[in-house]
Amino acid sequence: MSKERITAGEARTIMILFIMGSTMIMGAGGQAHTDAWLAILMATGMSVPIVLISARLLALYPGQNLYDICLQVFGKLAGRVCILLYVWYAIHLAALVLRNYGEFMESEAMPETPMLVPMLFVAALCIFVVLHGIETLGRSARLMFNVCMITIIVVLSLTLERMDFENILPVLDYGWGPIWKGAFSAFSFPFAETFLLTAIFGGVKDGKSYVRILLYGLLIGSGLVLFITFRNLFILGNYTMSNVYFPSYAAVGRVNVGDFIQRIEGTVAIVFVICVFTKISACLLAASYGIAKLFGLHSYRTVVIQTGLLVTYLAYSLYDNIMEMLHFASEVYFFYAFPFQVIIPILLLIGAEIKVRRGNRANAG
Amino acid sequence: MLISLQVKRLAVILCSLMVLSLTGCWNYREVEKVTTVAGIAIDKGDKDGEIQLTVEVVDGSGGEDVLNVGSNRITLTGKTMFDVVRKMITQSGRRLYWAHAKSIILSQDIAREGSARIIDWYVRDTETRADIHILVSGEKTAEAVLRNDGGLNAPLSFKIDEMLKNEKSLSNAPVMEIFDFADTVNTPGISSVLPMIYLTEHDKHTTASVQGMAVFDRDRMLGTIHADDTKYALFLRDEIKGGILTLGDYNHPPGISLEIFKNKTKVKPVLVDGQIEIRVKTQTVTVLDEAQFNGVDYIAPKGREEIEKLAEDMLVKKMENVIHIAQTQYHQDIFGFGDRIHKKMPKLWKTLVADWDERFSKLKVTVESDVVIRGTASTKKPLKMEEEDE
Repeated sequence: MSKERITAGEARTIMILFIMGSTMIMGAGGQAHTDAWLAILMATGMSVPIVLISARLLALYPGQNLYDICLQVFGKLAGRVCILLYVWYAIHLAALVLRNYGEFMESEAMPETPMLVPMLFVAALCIFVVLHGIETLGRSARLMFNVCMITIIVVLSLTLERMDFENILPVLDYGWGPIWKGAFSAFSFPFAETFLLTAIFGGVKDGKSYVRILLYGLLIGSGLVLFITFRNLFILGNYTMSNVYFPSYAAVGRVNVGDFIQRIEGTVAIVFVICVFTKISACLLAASYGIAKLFGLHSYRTVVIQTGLLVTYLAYSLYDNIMEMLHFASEVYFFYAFPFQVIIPILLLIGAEIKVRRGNRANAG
Repeated sequence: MLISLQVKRLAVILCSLMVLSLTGCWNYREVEKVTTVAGIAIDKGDKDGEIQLTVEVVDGSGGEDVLNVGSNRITLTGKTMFDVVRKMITQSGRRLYWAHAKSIILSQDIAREGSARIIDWYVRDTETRADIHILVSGEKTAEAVLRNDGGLNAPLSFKIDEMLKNEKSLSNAPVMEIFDFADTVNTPGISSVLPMIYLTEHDKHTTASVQGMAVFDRDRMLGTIHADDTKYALFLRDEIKGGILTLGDYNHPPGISLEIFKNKTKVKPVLVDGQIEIRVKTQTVTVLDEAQFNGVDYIAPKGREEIEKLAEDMLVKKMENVIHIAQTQYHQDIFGFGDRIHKKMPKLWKTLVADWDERFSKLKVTVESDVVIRGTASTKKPLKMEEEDE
């Protein structure tokens, strides 16, 4: 397979957009109410080791991705089981994100349009970009990140007059319990999900700087998530922020500058679609790589369309309604994702360290 | 790829043909095919358990002068808000378009029985927007207010919207958008208020007028506060953006109007001997804009200070008065003192929140005020220079 390579900057941008993903509109650490920002900070802290694990793995096996590493560390059978698990996780994660998008369109923008329609369009776009490979994905992420940032900054400057900075008070009103809960929830969604990127970052051009790429990506991404959380809290206040499904949408909906600039909620959708697109594409790419590796295919491209459609159908049939989605995201997801985000990565790291040292010793001796 | 150029071209042509011919939203709504709602009035229905909804719809017949849009009213009853809203189709023939609605008027009956259940639909639904103004009718029904057009050509609701927007240079009623209201209803430590709307009669026809405010316990209205006192309640809520402070009047010197340019109210909770106290300090920047008598020389620092002192005393007295009303008449913390305590002393607040209404009624509040006269507009002295009896 001819290696496709992306630059460090592109990898970092994919990571940032991946983190922003559906968090942009769903919010993170909502269980912590006014202290969501604290929960996000803690979650970022907790995610640093995970990111370092993934950087270390990529550095130990230069030019190889998660699946190659799985095979090398766990051997043929267990390695394949591991690949299978991650393929499932990638597909499921893509479906979850796609469903978030679908629910958003259904409940806020187009209540009368079947949810499948907007989801199908985004999925088609993702399939398209994945067919063209990670290089295209990296370049488009680079381009769209600028659009994202410009939109966020413009919207921010318009929302300033609506902000009440005292909404952040009182800090720690509900005690540490909800904050931990929010922190774990924010850890599993979205920060630790970035481990999945190990599967597609095998071919970054200047591979020496994995720690820098991933760590910077994490920090910038979580900085933006934090920033959005602050914005929503300042505009909406505690009650509304925890009562609406899509805080960003509600917050931006309140912009009204001189009766002239108003009803600009659509801008939220722009940012959201860009982030969701990148996240689903990255997941889809990871899933396709995994399937190709699992069955020893020559090119992952032959399975992209099938996987993409599978993701769409899965997303469509995942939940019956938005309440279920919320319940899953806030109550179940952390436990479900824990093995993929923490246990297997740690096992992989230990295995890899031992393997590589033994290899070195054998070489030396 | 192996696809030949011809196939590619064919594909492009087919695609663009499809793009041009097959697109369009299947639930697309033409602008002349929707009925735009301007405002809503909500009353209790005649039968038990029914809501009566009156909507004012914009009557914009296409092609006519845009400035001359009239309006129609539709009144219907039903079991729930959404039930009535959809029933409106039987009268309007079309689905109503809610995104441009400007004001909701609640009748006092509805407000007194609990307004949250009425506005839930409005806050929840996605056809509506939560930045609509909400008011309470001071007349018998809300419909009565909305039905009277006061000889206007334009929809009344748009006029109400204007009134509320310009309230910032008047300050005799609070301006509440529906999400503000939903917020304060659900925030302990601040009681909700809504502006009142009355009908006033002159020249044989009546017009709507916004003044004063309704006081709520959570979502239940308790009573009203007069427009004159409302201004000072707004001072305490730090919602003053403009308005006039008067000293004396036509018959009583000094007959001065001070226009408020800026106001900042600081509310500080302090603990004195284990008891919570509230210290309020207002800082008001004003311009002397009218002086009917020649008694005080406000060019000299001494005279200016005198006027400032007068205004400060007046403000303190009026604010204490409105605090007294809130404490004794309604037992409702409409100034958000509790919310301040919550934010500044969260631990203490936990012990107070349970019976805050009662504690608020006994709360010691000290009010201080600082008025600064920044200028005297464009003239230096009153018009009438000499006192007649001198």
